[in-house]
Amino acid sequence: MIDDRRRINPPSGGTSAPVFARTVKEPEYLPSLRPTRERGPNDLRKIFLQTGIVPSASGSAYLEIPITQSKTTSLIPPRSSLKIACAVHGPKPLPRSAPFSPHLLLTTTVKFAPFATRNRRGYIRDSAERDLGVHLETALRGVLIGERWPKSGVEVIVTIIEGDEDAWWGDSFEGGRGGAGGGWGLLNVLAGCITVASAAIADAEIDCVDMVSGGVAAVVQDQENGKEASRLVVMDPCPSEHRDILAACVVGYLPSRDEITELWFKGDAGAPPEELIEKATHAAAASMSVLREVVLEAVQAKFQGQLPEFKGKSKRKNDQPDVEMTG
Amino acid sequence: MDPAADFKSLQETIQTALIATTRTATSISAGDIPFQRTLDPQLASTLDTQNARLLRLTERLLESVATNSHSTTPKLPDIESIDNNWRDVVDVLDSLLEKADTSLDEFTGAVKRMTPAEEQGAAASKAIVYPKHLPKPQLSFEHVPTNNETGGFKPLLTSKPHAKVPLEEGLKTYIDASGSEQYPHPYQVEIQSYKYPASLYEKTEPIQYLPFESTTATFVDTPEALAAMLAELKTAKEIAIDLEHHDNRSYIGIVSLMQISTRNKDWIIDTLKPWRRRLECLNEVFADPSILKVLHGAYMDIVWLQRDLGLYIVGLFDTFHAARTLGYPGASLAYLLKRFIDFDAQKQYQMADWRIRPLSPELFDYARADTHFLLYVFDNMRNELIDRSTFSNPDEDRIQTVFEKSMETALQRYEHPIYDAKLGLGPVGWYRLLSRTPVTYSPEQFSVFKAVHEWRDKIARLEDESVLFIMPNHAIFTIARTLPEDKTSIFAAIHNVSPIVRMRADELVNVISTAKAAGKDGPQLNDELLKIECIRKAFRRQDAAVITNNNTVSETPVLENIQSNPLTITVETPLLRAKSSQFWGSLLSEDMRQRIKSFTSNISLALPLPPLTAEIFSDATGSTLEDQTPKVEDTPAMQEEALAEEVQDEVFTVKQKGGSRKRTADGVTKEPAHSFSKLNISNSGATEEFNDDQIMLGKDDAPLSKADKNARRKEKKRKAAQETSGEGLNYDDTVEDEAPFDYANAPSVLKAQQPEKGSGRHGKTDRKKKKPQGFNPYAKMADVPKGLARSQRESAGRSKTFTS
Repeated sequence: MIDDRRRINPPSGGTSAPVFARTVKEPEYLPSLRPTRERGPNDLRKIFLQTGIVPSASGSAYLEIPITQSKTTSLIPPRSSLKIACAVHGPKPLPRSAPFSPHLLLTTTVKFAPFATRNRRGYIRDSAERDLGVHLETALRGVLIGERWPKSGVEVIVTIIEGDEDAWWGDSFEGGRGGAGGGWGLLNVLAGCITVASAAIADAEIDCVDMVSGGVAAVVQDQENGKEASRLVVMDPCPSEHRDILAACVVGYLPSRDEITELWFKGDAGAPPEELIEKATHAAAASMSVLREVVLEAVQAKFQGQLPEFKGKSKRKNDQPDVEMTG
Repeated sequence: MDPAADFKSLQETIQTALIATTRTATSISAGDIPFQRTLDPQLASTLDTQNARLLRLTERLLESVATNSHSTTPKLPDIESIDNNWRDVVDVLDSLLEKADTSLDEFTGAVKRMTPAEEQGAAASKAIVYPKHLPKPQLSFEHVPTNNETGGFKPLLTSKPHAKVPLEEGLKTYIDASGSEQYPHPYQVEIQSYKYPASLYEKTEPIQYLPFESTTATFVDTPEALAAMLAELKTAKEIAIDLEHHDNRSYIGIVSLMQISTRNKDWIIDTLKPWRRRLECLNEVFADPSILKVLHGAYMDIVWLQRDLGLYIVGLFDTFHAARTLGYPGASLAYLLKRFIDFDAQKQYQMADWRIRPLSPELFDYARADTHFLLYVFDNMRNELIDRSTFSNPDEDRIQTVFEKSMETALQRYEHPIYDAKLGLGPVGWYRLLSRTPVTYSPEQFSVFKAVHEWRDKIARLEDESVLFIMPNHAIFTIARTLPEDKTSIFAAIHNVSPIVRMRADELVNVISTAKAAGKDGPQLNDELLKIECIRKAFRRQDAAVITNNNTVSETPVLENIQSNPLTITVETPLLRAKSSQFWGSLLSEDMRQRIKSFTSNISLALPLPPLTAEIFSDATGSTLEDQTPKVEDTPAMQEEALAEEVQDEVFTVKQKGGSRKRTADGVTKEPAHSFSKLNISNSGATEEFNDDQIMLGKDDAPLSKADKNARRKEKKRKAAQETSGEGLNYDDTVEDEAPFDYANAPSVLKAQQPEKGSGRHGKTDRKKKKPQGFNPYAKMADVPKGLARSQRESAGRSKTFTS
């Protein structure tokens, strides 16, 4: 990693969570803190979504998966809470030096805030972040109608304020895997990125064929009373809640066109993997319901009192009179 | 003289000579020859002569060798030429080594060289000329084959000798897995309950066959001879049976000859007689459990016997399975005859036209040889099987394995070949042919393939010819590939056109063209093959289930669900949306309200400015006064927009909206009078220009500056160019032509294609040449930001800010 000489950086190893005396004194205390999945296998966590969060950007959105209040006594939150902000700049003309492009150039940047994960991130984008950016671009590119903006570019900048964890924090104390399974949280982050970017693009009023939303499903194997339970496919897995995630899959899905623009499959799902992909698609469709509601609300608020036909009606943004760009 | 001893002495002399020569050569080369040569001119000359002599010797040696082979002799005039002609030398030596190799092979017996007489004999026997067109013997049968039977094959039995279950009981039909009515094997119970005689488990000395040359076979072609043979067969303990079959000029095929041998007699039975069904009386022997029937490779014979003659075999011993079980390198009858009797079977007669009557002596002998030695072979194989079996271990009980396999073979049933046009299943269906050949067909080609295949089967049944006689398989593939459109191109596509195809070529052309039209939106080849594969699996599973149940209960086939249903969202999302953010708290909602209020619907602000061209700047330099005019224009422009706001539905162009200094006609009218002289420069309508001229003439205003004139000239030129270049720049027209974007039918990412290339007659060829490029999942790999130039690399601490 390139040295970051402009800032006074903390140790690169990251910050360790506080260790409370009680966890050391009472060995049975720590396992009691372990979160378990309380919702059904087909239920998603609640999603908070808000557009128009960055005034200077042409479109922006903020997504959060709030933590449900738990009864545990520990100060450390049992689960992470995904928080993603997205700003869309553009479409704006390409710089003079750029070669001619007949369609809209899409640039996606995904960046974790340094404090977004338990392991501190750097200020410079690392490979995982760049990888997420490519995935996000794949998901969005199929949605934008790029031909309408020749010689222009749009930047989608996603900042992850808090990411999803790869495993429960207590595992690292228990001497368990401690995130050795690795990278399960990234899938949730990508799904959130897709959904939030879609909302921001809608907020920026960039023409799309449909809205894309992200969804995750996973094959998990939980321990119950010390013995291995059977494999279970769950939607929207929270990695902290599951002991063993065997495989997970994230999709970017266009519900009204029934298309998938992005698919990231990880782990060994066994046969057949179609079930997992299908569940992820269902999850994406579910998060789309939130996305749709939010975007509609934003559009209604925007045109309140200005266009009579938008009063109280749930009309899509695309229904506004077409502006023909002929100049 | 003993050749071996002679060879030994010869070898010794050669070897000693070679060793001496090699030694001398090495000792000479060890001495410093070039030095000696310079030292002593006499030695040099001697060396030269010796060199020349050696070269000459070598040349002669090579020459003498090369006369026997076909290689050219290299000429070796000097030492350098050895290097130059080295390739030729190697050729000669290679041919020598090759010869030695073949000689050694012949000596060890790996290769047998035919004497010229033998070769001639073989060639002559192969060259038996068959009459091209025999009258079809099946037409004279009492039961002429009809080739269009449907349903199950009803056994031809009229009586059932050696029955344990009466005949009527065995003729009750059942419904098989594919849902068609079938008759069970009439001798099923008898074969399954058959116990091989105890004598088969005992080793006995093989009974020697009678000499082949001194005996002959009895040709049975009358009912009387048949009766005599039957009486004699009944006394035998074991008999050997073989069939000769003809299937080129008959749809289902005909048994042309049957050979039966006992230990001391051979019969050859003509099964092409009109009364051939009377041979059913042979069941008295064939179904007799006390007589062992030895066949070789009875797989097809069993089926043919029941199909043509209604004969069933109880107590079968198949020497083919015996050979397999014993792990012989070959399992053909020719191999077994060679192994046990050292008899060379003339297997080229196997494919002979066995319908010829009278039989030529060669064919007669071949047919007799098939069964004449078979019982002796059987004796040998039985003994070997007993030797290599351990009766206590069922896995090692080889003889039992042979019995089981033979029984399985004997239990086969003949079924009418029913053509399945839809799925192409069954032995005559197209699936069998297509699944074994890797082809990539378009839906049209696939449709044509199916249609031609079906047509061939139909014609073959009609004409009572084999399908291959009508048209070989590769011809169907060629037709499907090339899609010929007329007779001549069909004849060009398939090389050996059978007379029947030639006769019905028009019919075939029709079949192809209709199939081509029907296949336009037919199924894809791969989808269809996959589907059929699934169906076959389902059938197989069901068959297995039926076998394990061992009853013949009819079941409707349960096919796999091949097409999955489109995605139906089954998730209940009760209040999935969170109403508040923990991160923002109450801050967010207030902020948002403010922001929403600040939103204006002034759409002109969202529109980009028209492109700034060089002309505008040239104008600006022309007159300094111009800088003030835009401010004056502002108020009418705003009014106009407010007007436009009211008529929202109207199509407007950016030109009208942009707020540019270039005004349109109505913009001019609202202009204050003092700005006329500047505006006329940027006028766009020709008529206005005319008006301006008038105004200028009337007012007699200040003369136009030189720059103004230039600008006007440019403007005129530009307009002329616009008009001549046609619609390209006529924005208003294009606006009307443009269809609204169809969101529902927008191309998918996966199917994103380059636009249809070419049209009309070129379109077709293009499509053929260029396969549509599917979605390339790796294309994105290259799209990753490649990294900026060295100096601009995202450097530590420099955060990127957006500038627009």
